[in-house]
Amino acid sequence: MNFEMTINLMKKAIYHILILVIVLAVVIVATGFPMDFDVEYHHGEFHWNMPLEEIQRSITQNFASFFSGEVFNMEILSTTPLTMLRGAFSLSFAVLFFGTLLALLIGIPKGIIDSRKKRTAGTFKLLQTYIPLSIPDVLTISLIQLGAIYLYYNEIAFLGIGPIHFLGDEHWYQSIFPIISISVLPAAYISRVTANTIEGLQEKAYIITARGKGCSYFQILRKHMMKNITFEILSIFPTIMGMMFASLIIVERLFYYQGMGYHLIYIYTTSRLSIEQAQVVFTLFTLTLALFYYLIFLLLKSLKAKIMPKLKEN
Amino acid sequence: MKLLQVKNLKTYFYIDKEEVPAVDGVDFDINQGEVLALIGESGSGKSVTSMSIMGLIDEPGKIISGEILFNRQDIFEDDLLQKSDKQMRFLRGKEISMIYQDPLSSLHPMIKVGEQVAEALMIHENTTKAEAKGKAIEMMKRVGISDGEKRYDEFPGQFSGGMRQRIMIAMAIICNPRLLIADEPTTALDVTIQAEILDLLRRLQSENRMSMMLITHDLGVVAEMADRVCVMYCGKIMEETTNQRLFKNPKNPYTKGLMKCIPRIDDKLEYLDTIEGYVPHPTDFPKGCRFSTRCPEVMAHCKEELPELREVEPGHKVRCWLYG
Amino acid sequence: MEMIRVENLKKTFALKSKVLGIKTGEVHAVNGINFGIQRGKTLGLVGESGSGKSTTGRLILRLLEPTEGKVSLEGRDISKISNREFRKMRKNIQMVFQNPYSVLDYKMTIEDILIQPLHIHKIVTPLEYKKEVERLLGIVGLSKKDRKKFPHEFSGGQRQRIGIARALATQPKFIVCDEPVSALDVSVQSQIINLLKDLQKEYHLTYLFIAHGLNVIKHVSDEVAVMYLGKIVEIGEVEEVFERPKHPYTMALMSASPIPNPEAKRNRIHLNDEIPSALNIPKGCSFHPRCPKAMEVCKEIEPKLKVDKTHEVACHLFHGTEDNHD
Repeated sequence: MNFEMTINLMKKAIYHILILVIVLAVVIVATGFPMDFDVEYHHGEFHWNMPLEEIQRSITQNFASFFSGEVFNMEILSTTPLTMLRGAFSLSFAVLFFGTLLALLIGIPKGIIDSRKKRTAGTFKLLQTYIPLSIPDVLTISLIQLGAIYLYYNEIAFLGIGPIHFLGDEHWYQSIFPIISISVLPAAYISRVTANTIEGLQEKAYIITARGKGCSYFQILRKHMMKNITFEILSIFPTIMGMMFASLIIVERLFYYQGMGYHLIYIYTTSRLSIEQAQVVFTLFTLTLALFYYLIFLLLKSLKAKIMPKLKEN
Repeated sequence: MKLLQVKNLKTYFYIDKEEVPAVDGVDFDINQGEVLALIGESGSGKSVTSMSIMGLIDEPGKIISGEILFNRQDIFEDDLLQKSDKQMRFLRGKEISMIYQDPLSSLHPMIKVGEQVAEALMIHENTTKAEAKGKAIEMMKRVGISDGEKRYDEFPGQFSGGMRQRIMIAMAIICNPRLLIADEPTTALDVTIQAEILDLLRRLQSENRMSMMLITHDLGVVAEMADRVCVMYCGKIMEETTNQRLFKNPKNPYTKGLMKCIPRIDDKLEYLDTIEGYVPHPTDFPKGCRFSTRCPEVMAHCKEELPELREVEPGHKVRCWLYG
Repeated sequence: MEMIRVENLKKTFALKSKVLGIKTGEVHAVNGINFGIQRGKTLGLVGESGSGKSTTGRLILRLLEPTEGKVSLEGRDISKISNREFRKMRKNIQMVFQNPYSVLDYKMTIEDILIQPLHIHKIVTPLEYKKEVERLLGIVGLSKKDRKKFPHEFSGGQRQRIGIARALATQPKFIVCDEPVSALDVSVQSQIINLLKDLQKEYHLTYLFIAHGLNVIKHVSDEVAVMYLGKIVEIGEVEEVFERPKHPYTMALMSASPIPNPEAKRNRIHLNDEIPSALNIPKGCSFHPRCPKAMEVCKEIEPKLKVDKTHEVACHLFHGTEDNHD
C-alpha cells in the first residue's frame, strides 16, 4: 500500500511540476515576442513587420537570458530587476491580500442579509450585487478614485486617516483606496454565491432537522451552513483571483500605485529601457505573477480537500 | 390524559395562484404514553400535519385555521398555532421532537455525528460541552451504537442506513421529549433493519413514557406499533379507531380497500384486489366525498355532499355516508 | 425452454481515494451467482441493500459490464459478444425501472418517448408509429389521448404504466423489473402487479423481478432467489421457499416482514449487528457474523449452492462436509 501510494504521490507531483514548467515556458514564449512586433492586414493578407527568424531569435534569447541567470544581474535604472520585483511585489501583495480580506468581510455578510426572504426589499438588494457585476470595472474604480479626489480636495479624512492623496504609494495608507477598488467586484460575486448557497440549503433535509431541534436562524447559519458556504467560496476562488489579477493593472495604473501591474505597463511603454532590457524584465514580472497564481491555486486545492471530511465508501 | 389535541387544522399551500388544501380540517388527539399512527398514501396530508404541529410550515404553505393544544407540565394547555417561531423553538427538540424519513439526507454530512446528537442539549439545557458529549455518548449506546466514544467523532457517511436512523432517534430523544413524531422512520430502510428500528422505538417509547405520532403508509408497521390509528385521504381523516378494531372491523371503504389490496405474505391470490383509479390531484378534488371517484360502494349522495367524521361506535369514528 | 441462464456472474467495483487516486478497496457487488429462468416464468430476486440484486439486473442488460461470468439468452452468449452485436439483441431484453418520476424524460411527450425505441430498433415503419403508440398505450391501460401529454401530467402509477409500455415497445422476450412498485402508493401497487401478470400471460414474457419486499415477490414469482452480499443463499420454487425456508437469513427476512394483523404472532429472529459493508465481506460464509446458528465451519469455509434441484440452499446446516471439498 505504501509503495503504491508513494508512486501515486510522485506521479501527481511530477504532473503538477510539469504543468508549471509548461505554463512558465508559454509565458516566456509569449513575452518573448519582440516588443515592436506588429501584424497588419492588407488586401486579404496578413503582413508581419519582421521575419520569422527574428521572432525566433527573440524568443530564444529570452529563454537564454533566464537560464543563464543574466536577467538577475542586469543593471536597470540603477537597480537590479530583482530589487524592482521585490518592491513591486510587496506592494501588489498587500493590495491583493487585504483586498481579498475586505471582499470576504463585505461579501459574506451581504450574502447572508440578501438571503433573508423579504419580498419588497429583495429586488433592491439583488441590484446592489448585480450592478457592480455588470458595470465594467474601469468605471467602478474610476468612480472610487473620483470619490478619493473629492475627499482630498475638501480635506476630509477617511476613517480618521488623511486627507489621503489619491495618487502614489509613499505612505501605507495610500493603499486603502486601491484595496477598496479591487475588492468591489469580488465582494459582489462572493455575496451572490453566499446568498445562493444559503437559499439552496434552506430546502435541505438536514436544515429542517436542525430547525426541528430548535435551532435559531443564526445557530443554523453558524453551525450548519458555514461549512457549505466556505466550500463554495473556496470553489470560486480561482475566478476571484482572476478578477483581481485583471483589476490589479487598472487599479495600480489609475492610482499611480507602483506594484506589479503598474510596472508591467510601465516596462512596456517606457523609453528609459532598451528593448532587450524591457523584454527580459517584462517576462520576469509576468513569470512571477504566473508562479504566484499557481501556488495559490495549489494551496486552495489542498485546503478544499482538507475541509471535505473523509467519507468512507459504503 | 390528553397530551395533544388537534382541532380543525387546515394547512393550505398557495402555488401558482392555486389553493392546495393539503390538510383540510383534521381533528385528533394523542394521549399521554400512546402511539397514534397516521396512515395514508401520497397526497393524504400526513406529513404536512406533522410539520404543522412542529411549526415548520414555510411559504408557500400556510396554516389558515385550527388549534393545536399541547399539554405542558400537566398544568395548562398551550395553543401551538398562537406561538411565535421564537416560542416554538423552545419546544422543538425539547418537548416535541421529530425523526424523518431519510436518515442520509437528514443528517448534516459535514458535522460530526456526536455533535449533532448533542446539539439539542446544548440549545435547550445549560450544560457544558463536556457534559453534553457524555450524555450524547450515553444516548448513542442506548439506541444500540456500541462504541459510542469512538463513533462520536465520525461522520454520517461512515454509518449504514440503520445506524443513521438510530443516530436520528438518539438526536431526537436526548432531551426526553413528551411527544415524538416519527415521519416514515423505516421506509428507507431494509426489512431486517426496519424490524430492529421499530423494536427500538417501541422500547424507548415505553421506557421514556413518551407519546408517539407514527406516520406511515405501511399497514404492517401500523399493526405492530400503533395503539390508535387515523386513516387519512386527500387531507381528511376517513377513519379513526383503535388498532385492533381497524383491522378486525374496518368501516370506511377506503380503509377496507387498502387492507384488501396489499399483497400479503400469508396468502397466495392469483390476482390482487385493487382500488380502481388514482389518488386525485389536490387541485382537482371531486365534489362531495373525496373518495367517491374510486369507491366501490359509492352512492349518489356521496358525490354531492362531503360526509362528516362521526363516532359510529364508542371509540370508532368514520367519515362515510354508509353510516348515516 | 430456458430463456436466460446466468453462470458465475461477478461484478467488482474498484474504489479510488479521492485525494491520491489510488485504489483503496474493492466492492464485490455480485460475487458469483448462477440461475436460469424458463420461458414464460418469473424469477423473483429478493435481498436487502448491498445484496447485489439491482446490479444483477443491470449486468444481464449489460448496462454494466460483468467482471467475470456468462449470461446466455436462449442459449446464446450475450455477455461476451461485441457491443455492436449485442445492440441487435437488445430489443429482446428490456427493463422496467424503479422510480417512475425520474425515468421519463420530462421534456418529451409520451408519444416521443414511445416512438424512440420503435425508431431505434426499427420495429415498425414510421408511417405506423402513431398506431403502434396507441396500441401500446391501450395495452397498459392508458387512453389514446394521453399521447400528446408530458410525464409531469401523470401520477406515479400512470408513469410506471408508461415505463412498462416503453419496455414492451420493442416486443421483448425478457424483462427485468427492478423494484417496479416500490415507489408507488399502496393502492396503485396492486394495479401494476396485476398488469405485469396479465402482460406475462398474454405475451409469454419472462421476468426477472427484483424487489426487497417479500410479500410482493410472493405474488409475482414462480421461483425465488434470496441474495445476500452478492451471493444467492437460497433458491427454489416460491411456495417451497416461503413455507419451508432453509437458510437462516431467509427465515430472518420472513420473520422481519411486518404483518398487517395486530394479533399475529411475531417470532422475530434477531440478527446480530448490522449488514457488513460490501468492502469487507466476512471470510467463509458471508452471513456468519449475524447468523444465529453459526458454527465453527461457517467462519472458514464458504458453503456452495447447487442449482439442479427445486430448492437449494447455501448453508452448512444442510450440507455434509464432503460436499464442500470439491
